[in-house]
Formats: sequence, C-alpha cells, structure tokens
Amino acid sequence: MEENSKIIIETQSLTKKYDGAIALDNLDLQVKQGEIFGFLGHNGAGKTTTVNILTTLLAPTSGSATICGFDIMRENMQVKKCIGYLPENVKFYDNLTAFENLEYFAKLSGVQNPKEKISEVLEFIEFTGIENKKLGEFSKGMRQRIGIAQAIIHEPKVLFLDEPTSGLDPMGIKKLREVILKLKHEKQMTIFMNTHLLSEVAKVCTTIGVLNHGKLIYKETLENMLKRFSDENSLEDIYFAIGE
Amino acid sequence: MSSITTIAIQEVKVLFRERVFFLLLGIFIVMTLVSLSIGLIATTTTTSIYNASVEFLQKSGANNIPSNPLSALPALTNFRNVIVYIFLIGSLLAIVMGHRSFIRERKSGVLSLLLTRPISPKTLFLGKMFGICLALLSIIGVTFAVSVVSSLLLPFQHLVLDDILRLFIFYALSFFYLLFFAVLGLLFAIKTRSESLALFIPVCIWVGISFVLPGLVSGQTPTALLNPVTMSQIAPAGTFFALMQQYLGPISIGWHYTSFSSQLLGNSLQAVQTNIGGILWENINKTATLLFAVVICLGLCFYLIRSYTVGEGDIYE
Amino acid sequence: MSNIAKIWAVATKEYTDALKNKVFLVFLFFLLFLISVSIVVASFDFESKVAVYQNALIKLKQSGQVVENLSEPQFFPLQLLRGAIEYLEIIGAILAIVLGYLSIAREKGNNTLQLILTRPISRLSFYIGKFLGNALLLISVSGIVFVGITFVVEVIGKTILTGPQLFRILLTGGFTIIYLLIFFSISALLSILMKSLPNALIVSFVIWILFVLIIPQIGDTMDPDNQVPGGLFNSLHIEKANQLLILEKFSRYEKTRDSLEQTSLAKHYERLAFALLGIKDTYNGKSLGFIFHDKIGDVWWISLASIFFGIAGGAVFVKKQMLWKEE
Repeated sequence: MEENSKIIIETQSLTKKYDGAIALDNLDLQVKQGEIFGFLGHNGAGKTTTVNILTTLLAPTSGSATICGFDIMRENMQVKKCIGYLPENVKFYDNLTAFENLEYFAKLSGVQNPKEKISEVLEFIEFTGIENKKLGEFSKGMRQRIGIAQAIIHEPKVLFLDEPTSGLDPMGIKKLREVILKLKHEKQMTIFMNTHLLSEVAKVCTTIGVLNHGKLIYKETLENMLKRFSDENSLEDIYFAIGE
Repeated sequence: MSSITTIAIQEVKVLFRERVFFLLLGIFIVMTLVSLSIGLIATTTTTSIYNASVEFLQKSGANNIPSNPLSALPALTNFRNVIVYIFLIGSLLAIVMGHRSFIRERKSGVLSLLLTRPISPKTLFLGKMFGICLALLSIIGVTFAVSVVSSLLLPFQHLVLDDILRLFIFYALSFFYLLFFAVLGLLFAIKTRSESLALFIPVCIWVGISFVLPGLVSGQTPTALLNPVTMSQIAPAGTFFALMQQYLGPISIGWHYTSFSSQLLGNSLQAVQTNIGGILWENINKTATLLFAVVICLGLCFYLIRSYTVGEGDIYE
Repeated sequence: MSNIAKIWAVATKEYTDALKNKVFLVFLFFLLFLISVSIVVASFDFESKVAVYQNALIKLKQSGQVVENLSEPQFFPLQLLRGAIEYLEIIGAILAIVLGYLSIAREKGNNTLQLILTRPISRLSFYIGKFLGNALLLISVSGIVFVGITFVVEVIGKTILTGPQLFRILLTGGFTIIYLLIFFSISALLSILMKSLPNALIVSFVIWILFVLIIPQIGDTMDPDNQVPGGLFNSLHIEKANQLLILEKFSRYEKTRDSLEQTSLAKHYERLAFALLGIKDTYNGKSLGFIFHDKIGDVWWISLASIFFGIAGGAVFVKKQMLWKEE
C-alpha cells in the first residue's frame, strides 16, 4: 500500500464517453479513509457512471482510479475484495430465503464461515428473525437492508451506495442512516454515497462532492461548506448556489 | 468450494425454486410417454390394417403380397416421436432456459452485485454453464430412465440391450443438441440489451435450424419434416438440391440431429440391420458438426462476457 | 373528438409503432424470405420430378416397353404454394404472437396506460383501437405476402395466373388474416392476464407449439398411411376406393385421430387453404362452391375462434386491473 493511505479512493482525469457524448469529464477526486462522501448532482450528471467505474463494472475511456491503493483496471480483483456495493433497486432472488441469498454472495466474496458471518451482520444491522423468509415477501425497506447486509458481509473497506434511500419511507430512511453511521464509527468503513436527498446528506455525510454534466464542480467537507455558505438558509439553497 | 461450483449450484437451486426444473422435467417425461403411447397405438392399428388389407387382397386373388413393413422394425421405433418433441419443444425450452439464466440476474440487479465480487465474468459464465449442464443432464437422465422403465413395464414393448444402448446414445446426442440451444439463449441474453429481442433472435435461429435448413437440404415442407417416418428421406435429385446438400448440408445441425436419431431408433430396415458401431461411424461427421456448433457458441459467449459492462438498461427494459 | 376518431387515433399509432419495432420487422422479413425460398424449393422439386419422369420415359422407350401407363407430372402453379402456406401457418402465427405481446407490453412496461385511461376514452374503445391497428397491420402483411407470392409463382412458373386463380389467392389471404388474428388475440390476452410479460410470451409460444406443430404432428403420425415411407396402401398397390372400404372397420381410430386434429386451428386453416388453392389433389380443379360446402366446418372453426379470442381479449382488458408497471 502507498504511503498516502489516508486517501482510499482516488481518481485522476477519469473520463467516460458514450458514442461521443461525455458522461464523465476528467474527474479528479480524492476520498479519505473513514469519510462518508455524499456525491450529489442532477439526473444524468454522471454519478452512477462514476460508481460503476469505481466498482469495476464499467471501464473508463481514459484516466485512472485507485481504491485501497489498487488500480481499478490492472488490479480489479484486489479492488473487488475491498469494496462492497449496493446498487439502486436491486431485487435479489425472490424464491430464495434471505439466508440463502446472503450465503451465496458471502461465498462468492470468499467469506470462510458464511453462516456465522450472516448472523453477525444481521445482528449488526438489527435485522434478525427474517433469515428463513423468501425475499419475494420482503418490502422495499427490508430488501434494502438485505442489500446492505450483502454489501458488508465480507467486511469491505469501502462501501458504495447508489441512491440507497430511493423509495424508502421515513422509518426506512432513519434505519438506513443509523446503519451508515454505525458502519463509520464501529467499522471505520469509508462510504461513498450517491444521493438526491439533501436532508440525509446533512445528517450523515462528512464530505460532499457535486457533479454537474460530468464535471466535479465542488468538493468540500460539510463543516466548511456550511461556514462558506452561511448566508444561505438551507442546504438546498447552498446546493443551488453551487450549481450556479 | 470454488466460485464456479457455487454459481452452478445456485443456478440449479434457483431453477428448482422457480419450479422451472420440474416444469421442464414434467414436459420431457410427458413427451416420452405420449410418444410411446402414440407409437404403440399407431403400430398396432397399422398392423391390423395391414392384416385386413392382406385378407382383402387374398380374397381378390392377389399373389406375392409384401410382408408387413412394420414387423421388421424394433420396439424402439415406438419412441421415434420423441425425436420430434425434443427437436421442437426441447430445443425451444432450452433457449428459454439459457435466456432466463442471464436475464434473471440482469433484471433483478444481481448481476451488478456478482460482477463486483472477486470473480471474473468468465467464472460467472462457466458457473452458469455448469449449472445449466447439470440441470439438462438431470432432465435427460430421468427421461432416459423413464423410457427404459416404461418399456420394461409393457409386456409387448420388449427392449433388448442393443435397444437400450441405442436409446442411451440418442439421449446423449439430445443432450448436446439441447445444450447448443441453451447456450444460444444465453449468448443473446448477454449480447442484446433488450430482453424480448434477446429471446426473439434465438427463436428466429431456431426456426432456421429446425425448418429452413432441413427444408433446403431435403426439399421437404415444414410439416413433412415433423413426421418421424419421412423426416430423413433423401432429397430429390437435381443440381439445386445437390448444391444445397454440399454447402448447407454440413451446417444443418437440425437435419443431422433428426437423421442420426432416426437411424439410432431404427426408423428404417437398413438402420435396424446396421449395428451401433456402424451407425456411429456413419454419423461421426454429424456428431462432430453438432459438437463444433456447441463449442462455437460457447466461444462466442466467452468472448462477449469478457467485455460485458453493466449499463443502465440492465435494470429496466 | 368522436369515439370513432379516438379509436382511429389509437389504431394508427399502433400501426406505426409496430412498423418501427425491430422485433416485428425481423420476423416480417424472415417470413417473406422463407416463403420465397419455399416456392423456389417447390419449383426445383417439381423440375426434378419432371426430370425423373423424362428419364424413365427414355429408358422405357429404349427397352421397347409400353409408356402409356406412365403419367407425366402435371404442373398446377398454385400447388407451388404448399410450403408458403405452411410457413404462414407456422411463422405467421409467431408474427401475430409478437404483435399481440408488443401491443400490451408497450403500455404495461412504460406506465403509459394510466396516462391514456385518465383521458376521456373508454378501455373498450382503447382496446378496439389496438385490435384495429394490428388487424390493419396483418392485412398489410398478408397483402404483401400474397402479392409477392403471386409475382414469384408467375416468374418461376413462367405463367400468368388467371382471374379465378387470383380470386382463390385473395380468399386464402382473407382466411390467413382471420387465422393470424387468433394468435394475436391469444398473445394479447395472456399479456393482459399474466403478471410477468416474458412469462406471457413463453406461454404463448408453448400454445403455439402445441396447437400449430405438435397436435397436427400427432394426427399426422397416427395416420396409418404415414407409418411407411410412400404409404402403406401404395406399398400394397391398393386403390383409393378399396382403401376406404378397408378403413371402414377402423372408423373409431380414424374418428379419434380426426378429433385430435380438429382441436388444432392451424390444421383447419391448412385444410381450407390447401383446398382453395388445389394443393390437395382431391380439390384440384373443383369449384369454389364444392370446396366451401366440403370445408364449411373449417371455415366456422377459424372464424368463430377468431371472434371468440378477439372478444375475450377485449373483455379481459376492460375488466382486469392491470399492474401499471411490471415488477
């Protein structure tokens, strides 16, 4: 691992083009270990593209990125070992139980003792007693919690969440927030979160980045941002001010 | 346990839970029993008609009446309709199986989760293929067992060891034929973003392999190709058909499957009189073509999955 | 806007949407290609029969034998359409299934049904518009196919079809549309009823295989004359009249076989089309009156089935509270 191990996610001139259209434009980004990084931007800004590239699902057109010191292109297996990922709206295998779904993902992540690990993770996220229920019977909020469980079962150093609060009710959002904060404080996990929900950003994130048409136009810790834009009344106003 | 085995077992487990496996198995067993029933009924009735015809001819004073053409054919011929059912239904269901295997993961969003695990896309593909092979082998194996057992239970459907061996080879051949279509379904599920197009294209190819190529090579109409008695008839003479046989014959795997299977199941007197070794030797090029087709499809899948990228269209159609 | 105008608006949209759909176009061109190929193959088959006849004639003359008993193969241009009719029966049905599926999938998958039905148009009018649009599409497809067939037959057969022959082709085209509408309605019905659209498509294909391929195949396989290559009675040199005499004793078997075939709408269409075009020798050269009298059962079967499934599709569409967005 490199000496600047405090930086756990780093991109350099990361670019992605689709048929000539630029989805991501020379993104230079650094996320420090232990941060909860909130990635904001309008629809189609390139947030999901960024996450897809960093999680090795998509190859960039140019540029580079490292996660936990491993290059996403040349050392992608190493990268996968240290990341967890929860995409938006994942449904899992409806006809299998929660336990069976988690066991499958645990095994593929190389977890040695899946059964114990599953119990441990479900207790951590306070979601026990549902192991033998089929996923088809789960509500959206329950699926999301299973989604978190599969993402952290192998104890990754970095967790990528793509619109994790999408479609959740207020209780679901609250529970998710609690899990995210618990992961930061108890597991020292770095969390990279795509989101539209500014209220959650304010309650959870330590650092914020704003993407606009593929370009990173703003990055700051939440604390500094609130000081800088102290004239604005709300985070929403700050967001619009940044966009201007 | 290796990742490939984990994925393969998961594939079979999901097929079980979705009841797809049992549905396919049920269909194959029904096809076998229906074929046997129809074969027996048709053979018995035709023999009765033959006897009635002989009686009529004798009364009319006819001499040199040909012997019953069906009497020389073995009991195995009662299974010949299975060739048509596997050729039609089996192959189409195999496409659906291969198609669903990949589309299921794409639609549910699980594909993103799998590809962010420390497994390569190739491992994922191999695991899926292994799972599909396991499922198909089980279905074919059980169907073979049902064929043998149902024959043993019927006193007039007496199978000898040679017949059982022919039946075994037929089902082994059918496994590879079905595997080709399962891989075809998987191939287009990987290649095509649209779920319905990913099903329609292999169905088009299936129509081409099942009807068009055999039709061009044999000169037969689509419905004639579905009659196990006439399906392997030699093409009419002429330059056109000679050219078709020369250039299209080698790649007409549907034609190879049905003609090889017809010989195995003793569809003609000549086939009955040729021993298994002889039939296998005569059809070695057909077997090789079929296996080659499977390998090509697998190779294409390998190539596509290597560079597969998850896109936004992978969650919703 | 009057109700008829609204129905027409839905119908025209349905028509143009289908023409822009890649899947539909793939199947359409595939069908046209297959039909052309089948006519070409049939003509080559006929040429080879003529060549065999001529060779046999030469050999007989050379050996000084009597040639009067040898009958020259007669050319009836419409008989070249046997393969084309079978492809329409088989592949045309798939095309109709694709149309029925797409017609409903388009609305179900895109969430547009809510937008449409909150407009002042009834569900029934909307369905009638969809049905009409697809019926017009099938008429266009049928038109292209049969005009194409006529052209190919005239070119390959080196003949100009007469007025009565053209009329028979037109009638066959009409019944083809009625037949295809059956499969369109079944596919649309299943797409409305079933929660999962891909499953609806698979069930439609299974129904297609069963009623278009398997049941006719079983009927064909059970035909005693098909148990032996060339025919059992031919191998015993028994004439047609005597064949019927012998088969009288097996009428129950024949009735069972026939009843099974009756369940296949494809078989009804095939019998009717073969009779109209003179593909089946028994009807070759017979008047339309004779044919309709003999085949009235087939006409009723496919007409009533088409009406039944068309109405069923509409009724279900009106009643069923469909999931707006497929899960």
